[in-house]
Amino acid sequence: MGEAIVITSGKGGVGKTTSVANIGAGLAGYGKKVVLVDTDIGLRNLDVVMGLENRIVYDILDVVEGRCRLRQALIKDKRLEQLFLLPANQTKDKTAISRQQMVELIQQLKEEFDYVLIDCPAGIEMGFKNAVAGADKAIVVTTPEIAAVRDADRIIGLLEAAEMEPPRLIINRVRPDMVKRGDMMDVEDMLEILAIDLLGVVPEDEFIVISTNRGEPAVLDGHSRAGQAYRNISRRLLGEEVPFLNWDSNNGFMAKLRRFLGLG
Amino acid sequence: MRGDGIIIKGTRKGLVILLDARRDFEELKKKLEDRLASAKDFFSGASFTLSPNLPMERKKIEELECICRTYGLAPYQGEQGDASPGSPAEKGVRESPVSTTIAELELPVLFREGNLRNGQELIHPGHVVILGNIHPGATVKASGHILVLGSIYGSVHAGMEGEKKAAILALNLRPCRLSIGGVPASLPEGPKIPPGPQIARFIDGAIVIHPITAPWSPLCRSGRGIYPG
Repeated sequence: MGEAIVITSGKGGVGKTTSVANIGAGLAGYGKKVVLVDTDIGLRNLDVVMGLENRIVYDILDVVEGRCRLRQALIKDKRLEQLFLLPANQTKDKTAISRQQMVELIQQLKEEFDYVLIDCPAGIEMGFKNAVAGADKAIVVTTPEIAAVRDADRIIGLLEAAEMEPPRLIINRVRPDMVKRGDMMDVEDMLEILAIDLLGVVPEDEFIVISTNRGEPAVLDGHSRAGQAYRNISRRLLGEEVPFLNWDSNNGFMAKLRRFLGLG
Repeated sequence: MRGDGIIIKGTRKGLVILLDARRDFEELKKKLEDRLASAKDFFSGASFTLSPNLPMERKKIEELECICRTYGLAPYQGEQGDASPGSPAEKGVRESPVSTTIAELELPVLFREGNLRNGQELIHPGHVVILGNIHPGATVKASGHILVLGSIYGSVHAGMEGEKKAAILALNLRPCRLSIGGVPASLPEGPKIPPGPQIARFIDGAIVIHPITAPWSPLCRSGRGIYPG
């Protein structure tokens, strides 16, 4: 029996879908059987980010309303054998699916996959409630902005009230140079405010824009810093102890040499 | 309340009869009669106010007032006539023109462990103790004191029903909004409240926030704050 994890944030545009795509590809890259479920009915994006848009035949609504079998709606990833996508419907809205239908669907997927990653829509309404209903665990994504942190706090409160186990936090789009200058909240500030465990810190990375446009998760690129962060997050989900990345500017060649010589 | 559930206090504004509303009403009635009868001449002619520690039914209040009247007591009329007898009960309020300490009201205490997050609201007709933080966007409303073993970033309202002796304490006090007894505090912009344990109280017409001092300091001994007497 697998594990269902919902990725949520409250605020839109903080990187839920990107996180789902990258963590999913990361876990699949480590040999797990993973399915990504897009519950953002009416505003689906995960298929685009995964580069699988043109392969959609059936969607989540077709499954719950019995127009196709679950197997028929699952789209296999181009690159990873073990990665699948269950796309959202694009013509209806969040009310098209019920809580009970969602719980049953996730249960069914858990029987077949190691990890079921649920991409949650923004907001705290029905779409959020449905996405959370079938999940065992939650990951909250935020960015170092007051509004995003406030919304994350609200979401954590709602998850706690739903008696889920305490969610873990991903801080996305951190700019170490700005943090250093004191122009951006640092990780400690946010952890103090939100008071939950940290799962990972993802640095701002131009490559995310490129990879998203191409439909290839950054996690599969060996040079992307964000990709590295998502690989670490995937390993932490698998239970490994991975130290948090340190992007102090002294990561250059001279600094490495000095450390190598025992001088740094 | 200790003993028989009735405390009679003499104040400048007459007698204040503190009632333990959790007791059996018939018992309370009898106890009140006994007390008044035992010092009939002493109490006769005095004005009085009933002050139950929890909201009481109007009918019961009237019955108790009736007993008082038969022993020669007159209901307290208030300074502007606003505190007509029974009005505290009518409003469901313990607002009494009293010099009792808030401790004597014996409000129920609510303990809460964990953070109060954005959008969450805690309303309690008594004192509130929180082991955790009150986040920005969270609200606590209490009839009595609010004690937070953590940080306050959200909105806190103590003495919600007009009790100006209520206090707000926190290990780190950075509220977004704060009021005591319905009086809002004008909070400094920016991080002007120094870090460390702070207490907010209503003193001489304004809300004063200052570092928590030891109970033996003169300010606390004057009986203004949470340290009664």
